[in-house]
Amino acid sequence: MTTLHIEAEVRREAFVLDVMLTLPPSQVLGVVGPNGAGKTTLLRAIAGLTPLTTGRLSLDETRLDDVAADLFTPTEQRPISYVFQDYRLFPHLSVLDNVAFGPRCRGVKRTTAQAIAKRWLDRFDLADLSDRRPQQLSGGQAQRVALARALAVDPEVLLLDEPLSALDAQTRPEVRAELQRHLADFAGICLFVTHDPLEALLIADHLLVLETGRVTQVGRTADVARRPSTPYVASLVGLNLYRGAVAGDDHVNLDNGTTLLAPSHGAAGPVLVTFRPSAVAVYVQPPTAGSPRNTWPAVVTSVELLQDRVRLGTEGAVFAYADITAAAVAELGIAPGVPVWVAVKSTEIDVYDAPTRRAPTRAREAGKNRARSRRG
Amino acid sequence: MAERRGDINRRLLPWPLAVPAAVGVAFLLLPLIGLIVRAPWSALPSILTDRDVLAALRLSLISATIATGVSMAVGVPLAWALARVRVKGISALRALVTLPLVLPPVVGGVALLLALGRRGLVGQYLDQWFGITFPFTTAGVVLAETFVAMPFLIITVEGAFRSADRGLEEAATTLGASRLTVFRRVTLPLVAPSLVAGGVLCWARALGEFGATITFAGNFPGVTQTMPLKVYLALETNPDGAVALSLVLLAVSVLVLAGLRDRWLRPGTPL
Repeated sequence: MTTLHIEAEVRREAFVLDVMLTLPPSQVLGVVGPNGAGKTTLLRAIAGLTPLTTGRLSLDETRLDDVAADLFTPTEQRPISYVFQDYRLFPHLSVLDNVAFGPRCRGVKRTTAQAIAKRWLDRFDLADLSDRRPQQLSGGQAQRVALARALAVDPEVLLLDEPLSALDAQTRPEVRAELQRHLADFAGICLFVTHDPLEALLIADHLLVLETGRVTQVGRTADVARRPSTPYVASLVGLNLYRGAVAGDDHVNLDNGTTLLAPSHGAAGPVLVTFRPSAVAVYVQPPTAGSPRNTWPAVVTSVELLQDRVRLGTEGAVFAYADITAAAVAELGIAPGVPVWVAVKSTEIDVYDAPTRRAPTRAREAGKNRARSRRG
Repeated sequence: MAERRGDINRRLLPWPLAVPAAVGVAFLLLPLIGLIVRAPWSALPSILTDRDVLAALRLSLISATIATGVSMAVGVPLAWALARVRVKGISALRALVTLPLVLPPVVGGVALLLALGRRGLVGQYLDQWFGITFPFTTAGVVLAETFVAMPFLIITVEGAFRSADRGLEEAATTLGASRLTVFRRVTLPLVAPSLVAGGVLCWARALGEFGATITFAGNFPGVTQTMPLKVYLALETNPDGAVALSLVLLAVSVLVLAGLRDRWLRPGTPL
């Protein structure tokens, strides 16, 4: 059982990755963030493929990288394995030898290594493909081989870089379910980078949000999903999010001057305000008598068909997403540019303390404290 | 103007390109045709079973093969260093190392003589301390051939190392492979086609080596007289013999090319 301490800064030209985090044993941490946020750089730093510019990385007492102390454990000596986005299976080796490669490198005899590889292939239902070359595998099969190869070295930390992104939409749910199963069996720490919110919510028990190289939110997946602290996370989990300040027991002044009626639940000072798009009602005429406490005129700016509903973007007192049924769109004649009225019940609005503004050092502390409390 | 549909897929080159191309083909093939037409086919069996000829052929094949082996053993690590080591001056080193590609082989022979000859820079000590001398020995032939041919291997393999997928090497590292293991089990297999292509180029160049060999190793039948030397000398005394020997070298080259063509030298094959 190991703990991974990260206190990392990686500089590359204008880009700076700055992460301070402690991962307790067997945590599955989803790393999310927009493109170029530094997610892959973080994984590469942990693996030793990209050395830190300053800071420290340690696995329990083992120092992986310590710039101040001038210590660096080379990648091949770290008990860490890495599943790359493009899998990187060795084209000149069979599936079996790909999986046996790691154990072989760690000093296991050839026959033993192959036995280990066989066991993993059995576990992944890949035994039939043992003799194939990677070029002869489908995307889903290659993904599973890559995961089996990474797990066959019995790592303490498993790094997954967008493991499912190269798969087509049909195979993804199946492989995701399988990945979930294998990660549940995995005793070590796992960090996996993803673009897909669903993947993050299903697989990770904690989420780390990286934006332009900095941690903007970290916490239990459920908490992050319910109470996002940046617009990026809010859009990731599909919530309307605003910054504001509590102005009384039952209303909040948003930063843009709008006042929302909402129970503050004891929050005070700067707060974040969220509500779900499905909690927003849309009218084509001014609602005269109704229970929703917050109504404002708006204009539809976008109409997007989701699986079973239609998501409208509306620009009014604030920008808000509203989910309505496809039938309602047709009946009300809604299209971009149509003026509407938007209503939100105050009981559907969640108000919570805003995390302290992210001056770099404060953000670090916040990350550290959260990590500590999670361990208890 | 409408064309016949059947011609769509076999349209010829525009004539300003087609004419020079045809001249090029003729120029490259004509000498070979001359060789074949003028070959003393009836006398061939007796010429080719001549003891001297067989000795020269044997010497050529053996020394070219050893030279290729030496080039592989030394040149592959050197190519790797040239492709991967990031040190100032490495590009200057690359230029120096590949210099024999453009150097007249005779100059190479003279240079070898001055370095490794009995009175040479290093050669005098090799002689004094160990009693090792190269000129007029088969080892000298191998050295001369290696000097001229190794750069062909180096540039071929270096290019392959340069373009080999670094991602796969990273993957190997994350699985616990040391740098040497990565080289042995990932990089080398990845560049295997180029290794073969470079090896063949090197071998063919060594087989045909003339100038450096005759300058450095001399021309002793059975010891340093390789096929090209034999051909050149035979041309004055026994032209038919020279043609026959040339034919043998041509046959060897064609065999090598044919053997490799399908597997390694197809157009567009990544090397």
